[in-house]
Amino acid sequence: MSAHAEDIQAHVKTYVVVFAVLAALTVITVAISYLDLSTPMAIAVALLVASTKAGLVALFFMHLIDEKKIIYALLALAVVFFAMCMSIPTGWHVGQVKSGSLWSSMETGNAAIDHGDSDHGDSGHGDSDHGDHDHGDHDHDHHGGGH
Amino acid sequence: MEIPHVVEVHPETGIANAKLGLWLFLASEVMLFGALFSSYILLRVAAVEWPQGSTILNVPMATFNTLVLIASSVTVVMSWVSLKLNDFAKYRVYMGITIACAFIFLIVKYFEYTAKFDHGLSPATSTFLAIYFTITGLHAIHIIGGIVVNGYLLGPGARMWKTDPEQFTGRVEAAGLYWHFVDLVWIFLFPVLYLL
Repeated sequence: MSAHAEDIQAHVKTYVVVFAVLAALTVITVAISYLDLSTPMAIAVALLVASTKAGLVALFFMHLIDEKKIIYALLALAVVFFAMCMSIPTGWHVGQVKSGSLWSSMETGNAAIDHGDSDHGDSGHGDSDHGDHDHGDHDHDHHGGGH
Repeated sequence: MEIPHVVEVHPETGIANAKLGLWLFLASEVMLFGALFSSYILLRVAAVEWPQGSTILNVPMATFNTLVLIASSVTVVMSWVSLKLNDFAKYRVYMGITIACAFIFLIVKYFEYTAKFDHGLSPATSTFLAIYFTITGLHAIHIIGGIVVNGYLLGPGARMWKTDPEQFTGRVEAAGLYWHFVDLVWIFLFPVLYLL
């Protein structure tokens, strides 16, 4: 494991440059948030900048750029599972999982009880009640099948 | 009993066991924070109202914290470089700065949290604050863990530099990998919670 001093010095230069880029991207992230972008645009741009920064940290500080294949394979596996994890809220019955006006009902305290609905403090969410019940039935079936 | 391939590479994987083990651990940590991020997405998409982070949270303080953590990532890799170049004194300096940056981050977080509590805002106040405190709290616990490990490697653990410098360098590299991951999580946390 003998690394030559010159190689290391070249690495050091890389680290300094990457740090400068990361600092600049941090400032850019904050600056972009002041632009009045639509929500999907804002999310896309913010995640793009964050991913770039994360990529730089991973490739250069964590030395992923000259790491062995097995690490890439391991990370690819992690990415697959992470993508599955992220797709659960964005792709699965999202329209039915209405939690009611959690923000305002918590502010006013007992809005849910006032409306007479114990779960979803708004009678307009009756549809989501049915949706959740269906959910429950499906889960039950899955568990039944598993055993 | 000696654990094999801690320093020399394993013939089949091509890397030391310690490094493989640490990357495996980081993969599991990705899922841990991934679960919380995915909860955030679900909660936000399902909510009728959701505040923009900058209206409730302190963006300048968090920006400063982001730069502090990025700097600490540089210094931790520089501490490993110093060991590679056989400069133990420099290693101590860089590792010391890394730990100092970690403390600065926690101190700023302390001021952020107490500012919320002083205004009567707590995790129970709203879903947004609940997920904010949960995810940044878990991240802060990871920072504390990093301080403990890095502190050990700066203090009593540094004795190994005399007996087995290669293994010690490997330990510093592994600790550095963990520290970079903690930085990575914050790089995503900051825009998601504070700016969006």
